[in-house]
Amino acid sequence: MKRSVYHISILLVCLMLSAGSLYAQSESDAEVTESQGFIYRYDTGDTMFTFDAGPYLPLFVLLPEGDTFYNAITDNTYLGGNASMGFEAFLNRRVSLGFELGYTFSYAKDTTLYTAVPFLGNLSYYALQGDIDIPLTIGVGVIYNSYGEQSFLSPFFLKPEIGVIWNFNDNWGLGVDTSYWFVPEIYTGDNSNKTALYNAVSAKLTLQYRQ
Amino acid sequence: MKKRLYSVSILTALLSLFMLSCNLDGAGIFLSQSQAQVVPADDEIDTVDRIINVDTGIMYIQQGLIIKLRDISDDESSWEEVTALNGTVNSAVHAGSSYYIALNDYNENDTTIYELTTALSTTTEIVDGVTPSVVSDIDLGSLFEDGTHAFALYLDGTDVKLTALDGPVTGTIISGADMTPSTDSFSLYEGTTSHLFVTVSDASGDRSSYYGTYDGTTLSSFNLLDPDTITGIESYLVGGTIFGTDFFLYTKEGDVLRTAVSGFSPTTSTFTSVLADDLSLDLDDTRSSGIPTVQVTGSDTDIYALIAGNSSLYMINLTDAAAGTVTPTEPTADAGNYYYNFSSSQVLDFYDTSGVADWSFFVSTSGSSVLEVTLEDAPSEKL
Repeated sequence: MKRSVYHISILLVCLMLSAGSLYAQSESDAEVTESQGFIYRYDTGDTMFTFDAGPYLPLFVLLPEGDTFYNAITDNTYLGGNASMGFEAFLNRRVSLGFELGYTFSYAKDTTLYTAVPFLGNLSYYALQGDIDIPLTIGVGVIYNSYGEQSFLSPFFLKPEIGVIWNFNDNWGLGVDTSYWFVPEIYTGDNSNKTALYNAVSAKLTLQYRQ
Repeated sequence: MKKRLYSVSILTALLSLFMLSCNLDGAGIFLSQSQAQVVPADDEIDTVDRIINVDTGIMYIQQGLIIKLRDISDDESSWEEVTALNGTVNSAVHAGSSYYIALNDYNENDTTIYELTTALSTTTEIVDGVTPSVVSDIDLGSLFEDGTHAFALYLDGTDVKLTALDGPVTGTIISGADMTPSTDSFSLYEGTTSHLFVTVSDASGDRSSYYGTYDGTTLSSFNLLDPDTITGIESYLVGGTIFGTDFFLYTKEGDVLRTAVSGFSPTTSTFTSVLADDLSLDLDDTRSSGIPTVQVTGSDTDIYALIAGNSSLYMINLTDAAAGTVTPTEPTADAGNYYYNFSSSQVLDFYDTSGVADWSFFVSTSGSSVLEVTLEDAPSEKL
């Protein structure tokens, strides 16, 4: 466990450093422009920090090697929660690239605690921006899962997301978003019957800060 | 560019190290979550003391002072109580084609055992003086069965008596002031004979085992399994099973003794401990009809006994124990296997539906009502 925490810490520091080297930060002029009927609030190089928190609900697992392929788990787990923080930088006026680190938890009905630490890269397309932003995001990354005494690192994890943000001043926005979580837990050989494709959904209140 | 490559390389290396350090040996996290069930508080658990019978899809159980039944072939069915009984249920068993129900007449020393030859229903009535009774107004110590025959051990004056209920045939185990029947008694059926191991307490509370047989007609006399002359027995027996040509008998101290069934005699037979290195099982909690045991076939095709300990489930390789010593193991509570859903509970009773050493049986536990086991590598399911 100590070794895992150590690795996570180093990983985070490196990611912060590399993110800094990938994008040159720029001062926001918070200028809203209009071009061909589309309002642009953001420009290439703009950066944002995002803070989210909200409920998290495991939905179902698919068991390719199990007796039943589809297993709903809403009756096996309680409503959980998740929180995350992220950073993004605009590649152009409508598309941003960033990363996100989160923490998720939920209790199974036998009171075993499930926790997860997702780390993912996000590609966002701003379908609408201005006073109201509607970002469509696809996140891909890794997620470290822990359940009771068991743990598993899913090397691939997918999280599509849609949000609605109200920018109440030049720098700050407040909104909601909802995400779909797809987490494979894949085994081969003798343990292949434990292979599971996990599906969950989350909704979050989002606070956004534009630099 | 160089700096980016450097960062990405470090990231990749750290990620690989982290992945290697994680548990990738088959945790089955999401499979486990999909099988999680509510664990009720201790005072909310309707534990099943005894699985009485399963007949044409109907399961009959004893829960405390009542009998319930349920159509287990119907997922939507629920447990229903048999209510029209003339008293509270002391205990109930099924053997042969009869149910034997011991009802307390609201007085613990006043129990009557009724025989019902038809299937129980929620409206089954037991009426004193109308429903046939086998023995009446007894101080019951234990009602137990071996699948074929059922027996009542009770105190009659200063005599500890046993009645084979299908006879009925009654014999006296021992007479004497302050001798009392104990709940640890059990019977093992082999061929055409019930082998009875009956436990009796003396005035100081010390218990002893007595052995006798019943062949459906005749009840033999009973002889003491004397700890002073039998190596391996320090006090008394609490359960056992038959495999091949041998008894495997569990002592109160947790030893497992092998002795031949044929020609068995408590005075002349040889008892051999089958547990290696002076190991012992934690077994001494009292259960009905002896320590619950069910035989299964391992993946190595050997026959194993699953033995319900006080807080653990033990596995003993009977195939190996028939010829030597073995080390008992505890099954692994692996996500997706039969044991996972009751690994934190105490097993109260097994009910073997097939009667052969397969993985088809029911189990009642301290943490749930009844679970059905169908395969070693499939999760047991709560009824």
